[in-house]
Amino acid sequence: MTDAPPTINEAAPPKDAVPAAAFGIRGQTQLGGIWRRFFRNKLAVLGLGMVAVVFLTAAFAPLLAPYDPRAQNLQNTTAKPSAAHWLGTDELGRDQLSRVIFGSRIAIVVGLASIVLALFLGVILGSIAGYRGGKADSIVMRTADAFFAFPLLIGAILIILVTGRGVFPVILSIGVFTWAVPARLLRSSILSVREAEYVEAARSLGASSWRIVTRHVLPNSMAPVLVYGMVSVGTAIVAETALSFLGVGVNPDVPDWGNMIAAGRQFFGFLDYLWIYPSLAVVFTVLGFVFVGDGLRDALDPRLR
Amino acid sequence: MGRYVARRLLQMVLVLFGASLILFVALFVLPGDPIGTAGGERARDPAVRAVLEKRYGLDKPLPVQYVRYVGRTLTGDFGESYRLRRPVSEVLRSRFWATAKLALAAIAFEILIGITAGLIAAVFRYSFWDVLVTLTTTMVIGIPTYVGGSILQGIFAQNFDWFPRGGQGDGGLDTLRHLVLPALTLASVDAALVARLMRGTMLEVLRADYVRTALAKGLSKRTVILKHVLRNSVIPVVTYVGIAFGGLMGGALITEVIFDWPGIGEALSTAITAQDNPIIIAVVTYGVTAFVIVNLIVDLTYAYLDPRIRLE
Repeated sequence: MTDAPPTINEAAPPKDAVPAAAFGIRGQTQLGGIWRRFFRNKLAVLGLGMVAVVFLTAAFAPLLAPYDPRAQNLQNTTAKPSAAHWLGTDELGRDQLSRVIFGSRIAIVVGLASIVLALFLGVILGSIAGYRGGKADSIVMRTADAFFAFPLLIGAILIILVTGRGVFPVILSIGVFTWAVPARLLRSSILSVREAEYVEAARSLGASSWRIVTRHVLPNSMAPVLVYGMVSVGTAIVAETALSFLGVGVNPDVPDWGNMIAAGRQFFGFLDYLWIYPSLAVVFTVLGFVFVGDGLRDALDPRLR
Repeated sequence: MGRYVARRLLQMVLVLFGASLILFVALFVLPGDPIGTAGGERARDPAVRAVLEKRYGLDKPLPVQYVRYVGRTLTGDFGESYRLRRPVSEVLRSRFWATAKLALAAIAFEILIGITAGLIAAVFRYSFWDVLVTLTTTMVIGIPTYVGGSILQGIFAQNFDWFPRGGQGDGGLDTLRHLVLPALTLASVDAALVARLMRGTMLEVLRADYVRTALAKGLSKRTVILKHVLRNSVIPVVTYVGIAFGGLMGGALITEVIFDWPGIGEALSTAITAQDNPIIIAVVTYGVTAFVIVNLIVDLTYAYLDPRIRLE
């Protein structure tokens, strides 16, 4: 690819321009404004903190967990919370606290990976549909419609029936039945950006389609997609734990919140701590992502408030 | 309106065609061994396998298999449940009504709770009630169905014994009592989203010129809110409740498992454990079809309420 001529927004300022600082004005960038608005939102900052806690827990799980999450101790099953086992032990004598801590790994990995997959598919197909238009647009959007006809859980179960249980199938199934939303968002966002003057300018300067899309169109139309991605990490985690809860998620011996809640519910009414603690972990994590997503939405587009 | 309906119907047929292709590819084309799963030891014998493949039409070319699959779907013939040895349609018929009851009750809760909460929050903006509604809805959105259901069950069935823990009851008032907790569970997240949406829309409508005019004419605030504002604020809510139907079905799956509600979702969950494929295929196919049809109804209602949509 040859170097495209400089586009208008990359042009250098005129030489005699007086720097804004001379008037006591601090420079304001777009990104700076977004950050400031985000950090002014208390709930968003709280959410960021909560997400950070979950991330750190997942990263340092082996250091934080007092026991091996898979180690069974059939001499000490369903023990009540105590000094040795802060959250008690489950029906196989495994330490609950360690399992809750290790469960964050599955939640984070599946939540992030499935949404990255969905965004990857959605951005590629959405930008083809939005920028190319015409036949490509019809094909992509009709395919998206067909995927839209599947409620997430039902579609995911369908895929897992074919592939079998496991972490990768869960990621794949959530990603495959989520991409249609970001694709649609990006397409409509591109449609409004496509005709903008700066795109026309780039085109008239001879920039390639690839350059126009990656340099000019995408940066100006990604905001709704990124917000969607942030909020849906929470949704993906709920879906993952729900699949495990229904017995079609990750394998049953894996320390996973959905698995723990499903197993703990067998003791509903007398050993409630077995399902309450993993439930709290899910709610904490999901709320964290919801707060961050909401904050990001408000920061990116204050009009949406 | 006629042309719009025709176009939407055509679109729906396209979507159902696409969806059936996805289903078909997942179930029949991708590698998997239905004969081995269903036939067990016997299926190892190549002769037996050939007979079984012939009986279930798995030896035919894929397009032929697809046409057969669509034909049987349209006539509601999903074969026999492996586990119950009864026709799938017969097994699912009573289940269908149970799920429909649950879904309707949940939608009723969604609308009732969501609109009331949103209305109060908008009318008394920044008051204690507004803050309460905003905080509660934010919390509820983060609580997955299976957690919310367990909590409601723990508090109202286990601790206080106000409502039964599960099951369908034996008709009439008893069934209604059995319906309350599962319907609330299923409605919770969407009710919270409806409340948020209602609050947002109403705040906008409250600023509209015609509202100021109505107040200036000397109408009471109560009349203006109930007659002018409410009517113009519920349109997005109607759409939202329709869109949320898909989530409702996923949620029903889990809610029914938690409360032993004998609906489609509970049947699916049992079928998954028992690898009862005919039931699974039927539930997924019907689930998708119902979702598409409901979406169509919502779109048509919306177009009826707001004529601008039809011109799009």
